Amino acid sequence: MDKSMLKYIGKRLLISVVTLFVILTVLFLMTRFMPGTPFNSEKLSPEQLKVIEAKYGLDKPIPVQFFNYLKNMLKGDFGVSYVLYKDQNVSELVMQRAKLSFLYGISATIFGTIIGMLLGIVAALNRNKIWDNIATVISVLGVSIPSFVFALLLVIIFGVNLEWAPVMFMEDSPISSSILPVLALSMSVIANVARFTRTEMISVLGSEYMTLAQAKGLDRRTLIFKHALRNALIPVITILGPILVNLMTGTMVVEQICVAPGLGTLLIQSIQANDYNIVMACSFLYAFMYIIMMLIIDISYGLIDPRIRLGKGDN
Amino acid sequence: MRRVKKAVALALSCAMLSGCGGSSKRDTSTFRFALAADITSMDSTAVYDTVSFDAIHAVTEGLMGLDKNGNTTNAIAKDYKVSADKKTYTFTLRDDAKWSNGDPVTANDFVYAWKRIIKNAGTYAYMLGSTVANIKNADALIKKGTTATDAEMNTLGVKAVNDKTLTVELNAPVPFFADLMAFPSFYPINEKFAEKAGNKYATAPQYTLSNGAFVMSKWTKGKSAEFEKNDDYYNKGVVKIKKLHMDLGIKPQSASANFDAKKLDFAEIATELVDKYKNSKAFKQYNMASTSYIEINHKNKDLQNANIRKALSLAVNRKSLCNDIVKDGSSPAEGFVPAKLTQSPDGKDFRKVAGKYTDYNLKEAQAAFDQGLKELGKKNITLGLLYGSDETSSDKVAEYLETNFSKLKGLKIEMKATTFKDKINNRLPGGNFDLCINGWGADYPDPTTFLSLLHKGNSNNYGKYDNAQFNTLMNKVQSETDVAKRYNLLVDAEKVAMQDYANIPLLDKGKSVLLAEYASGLVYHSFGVEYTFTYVELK
Repeated sequence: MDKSMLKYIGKRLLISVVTLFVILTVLFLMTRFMPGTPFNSEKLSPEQLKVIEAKYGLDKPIPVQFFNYLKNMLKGDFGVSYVLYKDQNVSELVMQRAKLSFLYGISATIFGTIIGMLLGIVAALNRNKIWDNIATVISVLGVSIPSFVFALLLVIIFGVNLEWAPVMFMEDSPISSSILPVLALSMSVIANVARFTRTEMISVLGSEYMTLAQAKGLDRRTLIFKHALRNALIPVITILGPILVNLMTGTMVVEQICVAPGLGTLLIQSIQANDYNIVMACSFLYAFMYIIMMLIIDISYGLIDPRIRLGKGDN
Repeated sequence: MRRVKKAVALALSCAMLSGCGGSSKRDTSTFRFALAADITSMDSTAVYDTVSFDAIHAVTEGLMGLDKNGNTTNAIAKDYKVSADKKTYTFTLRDDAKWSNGDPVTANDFVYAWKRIIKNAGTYAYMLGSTVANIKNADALIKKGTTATDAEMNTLGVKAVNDKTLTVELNAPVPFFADLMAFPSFYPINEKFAEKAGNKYATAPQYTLSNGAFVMSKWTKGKSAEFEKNDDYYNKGVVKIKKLHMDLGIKPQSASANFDAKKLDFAEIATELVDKYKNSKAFKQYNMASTSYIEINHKNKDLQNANIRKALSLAVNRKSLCNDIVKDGSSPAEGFVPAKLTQSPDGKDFRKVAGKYTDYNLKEAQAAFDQGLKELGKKNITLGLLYGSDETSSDKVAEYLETNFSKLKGLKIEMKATTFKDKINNRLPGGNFDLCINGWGADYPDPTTFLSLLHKGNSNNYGKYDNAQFNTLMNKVQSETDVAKRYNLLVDAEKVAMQDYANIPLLDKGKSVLLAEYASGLVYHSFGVEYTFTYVELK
């Protein structure tokens, strides 16, 4: 690895750390300025409220609270829940919930990518024919309709009317209860991947080496799968990172509709309850994932295209 | 390609089949129950929400328990004695009460738990203090909270004389003290077990101990909890079901859908669904011992006029508010203290004894209002009506009140919507309101749980109501040791406040539920723990 690459990676890392710090600071201040306190009970007397705030260190000035929070966070301690899961360790609570959300996100990405690619290939091979038009309509719908609308539609049709799948998450049948949310989430992946694959396939199919391969007398199957698809897929893979991250945020609303105990549900409840530490930990996790994904994308672009890492400012 | 098709078809049909789930024969050993929120903790000294209280109550018994009819009965205490001055209680514990790890339940388990709720700065620590149980030295220790030293904690008026004898010293007689002992804040905790688990105590089934009808066997946070019959429970003969399944954090709409799909035996339902189910045999309504009322700001010059307050109260059509607007089983409030909260020494409901102070009479309302305006020397007045729009039904109630009040000529109502949090943290304590829709639920079966809200100096007396006659009566209540006399004082105190229109009671709140016809023995309580599962039977 050459020096410019190392310098580039170092710079991206530094930017990521600074961004995370800024996000953390803003988040901390915003939670503290939310109306109300975590202890929204009329039954608490002012004296008792003081005692409770002292117990959690919430009686200290905000900068001191922030410093303590950072200090503990670096040790991996995200504090305890004040409301939703009284006095329980937040990092454990968040990780328990995150598993389901990750599972939904990853399943939707895999499923969506496979279907999207197939759709894209079919469209490209049948350019301007009925299949292409169908694929285009699906893509446009998938891109323009938000995942929660799909979730609602799926729940109403397959959950409530046809009763093919549970309307909410059931522990004894985790796979069947994940079908609807994963389907709903994968719609935008299908749409994006299909559009991208179609465009790439068309440009590859029109390239000179394809004409050569065809002239050599290769059969259509080898031609498409070995030569065209492989080359068309490289750019497609690069959009998967951002898609996965977008899905993570998309799961938030879909989880609500499909009554799934994921990270999104926890985040929304914690905001409503002013459960500061859970709000912080969930949002931090989302931010962290986003930034890591962006870092990986930046670095991989840098590796692929030297022009990026030697951009202005590095010279 | 054909193979692929076959595989896809198989996979899809498997998915659909597993989606259907459910067995054709109904399981009579598991009671399936849904609640709108999750359990926050199984630690009785940390929690303050009814869902957690329900779950803790399923696995834990206190000195006193609740029988099939919801009445207080001996539980871990096989007997108790009250001293002549009614300030010392001596409880004798049963010999056969055991924790699920085999340890006997001892008097120290209570001492430890009661100190723990104070040391933990638990929300319900005030239950030990002078406004409720009035245990010796509790107030001073509650103010210290986590900073109280062990030596200081030992001054709390609760002592383990030996393993099976517990004495409690009170500052003054508390007529409902025995009833309080069935409340989760007074439940025992096994010290050795809790200290060993440290901050993991009560956060998962393996860190939770039981001495009651059930043991917690599973808790998937945000989803569900399961409880199995406790074979070590001293009274296991009365427990008919083998398992209790709670779906947690289920919205009423989903819960009722699952009830219809026969996946639940019990579901709480929202107002919007009442019309759909009201003719169903599974439909039931409970009285919640909770009053919805209009808080009046007595610092407001216009509202200081008694005729204006009287006019407002007379202008509210409570019957229509219950039957046409909220529809959840609420009934018109007749006074500040709700019906079915307490009984007089001779067994009559407080409301029956105290009478009715609310009425709907627009003509009289207008007359009182005109008189009030005359006394104020004004032609018209404007009052703000504050409400938390995120509270159940409160939007609808506020709108309905606005239409009611707008019938009074000379009155202009300004609707002031805010959030519940803002209402109770800023607006009410800051006195930043004229009229405010508020609610209060009982924590213990005594009229003081409501009436003390109007007592001078109470932090929840947001309207700063200050009536010398009322204050004197309430002070007398605190020192009166004769139960019958004390009861009469409470009746008199409410009369003074209600005839002075200290606030405007609206509704005795109700709750609508669906309970399967084949299920019986579920006990609902209007205060403290909501549900007792011990006696549930499925046919």
